[in-house]
Amino acid sequence: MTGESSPPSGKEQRLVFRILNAWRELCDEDRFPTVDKVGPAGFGDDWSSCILLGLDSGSEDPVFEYIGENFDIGLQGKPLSDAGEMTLLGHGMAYWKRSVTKQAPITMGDEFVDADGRGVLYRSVILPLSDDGVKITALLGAANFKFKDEPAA
Amino acid sequence: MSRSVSYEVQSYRDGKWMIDSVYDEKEMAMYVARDLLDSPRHKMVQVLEEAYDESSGEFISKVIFSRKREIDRTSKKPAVKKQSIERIGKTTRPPVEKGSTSFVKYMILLVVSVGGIALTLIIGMYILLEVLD
Repeated sequence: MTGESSPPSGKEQRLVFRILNAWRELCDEDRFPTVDKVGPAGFGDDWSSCILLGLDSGSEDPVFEYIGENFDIGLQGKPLSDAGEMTLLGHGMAYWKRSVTKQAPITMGDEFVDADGRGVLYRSVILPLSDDGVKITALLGAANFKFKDEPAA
Repeated sequence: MSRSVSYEVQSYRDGKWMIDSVYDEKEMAMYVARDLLDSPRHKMVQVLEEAYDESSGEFISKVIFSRKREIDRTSKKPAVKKQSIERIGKTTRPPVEKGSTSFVKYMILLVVSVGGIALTLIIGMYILLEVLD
């Protein structure tokens, strides 16, 4: 995406880095923040571009515990697989297992065609959360996008 | 041949390399790696390029960036302060002084011991003279 790779001046321009920085602050001296630390207080306006995926059941399909209003999708309490392959969340959170395996934040960017046939360019980030500092109990995700034929901002 | 590449930023902490974060773009990983070096929590960082060759099923990893944090870059004052503390420590507590302290203790002990023995002998002699009288 245009401008994604250039270092920022002043306030961080890229959503994924703002989320990563906020996550690092919540970590403090720990390796991961606890789930209860994560909320609008730590992320400000970006909280509406965030989602929370619960892994408590240990299943292969994490559950949406929170979905920011920017996603405009009614999947709260539903499994990630319900997002489908033609949505931003379906694509942007598809690599969640890598974040659990690596026990580290991961960011990826790619493109897909949505249900209306529009090309979508996106970048997402998935960050691990833990209640005991060892086992990953939830994931914080965030994503932003633009349509492929949309001029760069 | 399909080949997917990712970039792993690692930080050296508690005697081992730990994954800090993972990126699909080299520039992002390099930016974060350099940024981490500004924090005193990260003494050494490296970026690992991990390429997965889907046709062969092999992972190929190589270090593309490795750097130690320069202590003077973050703050010169603490470094200078630390040096002066060390210098003061060397001048006020040299090994010679430690040796002379032991010598003084030894001399005091010797004087007290000899004095004690002499006092005992004097008292003994006094008692003996009293008995003989």
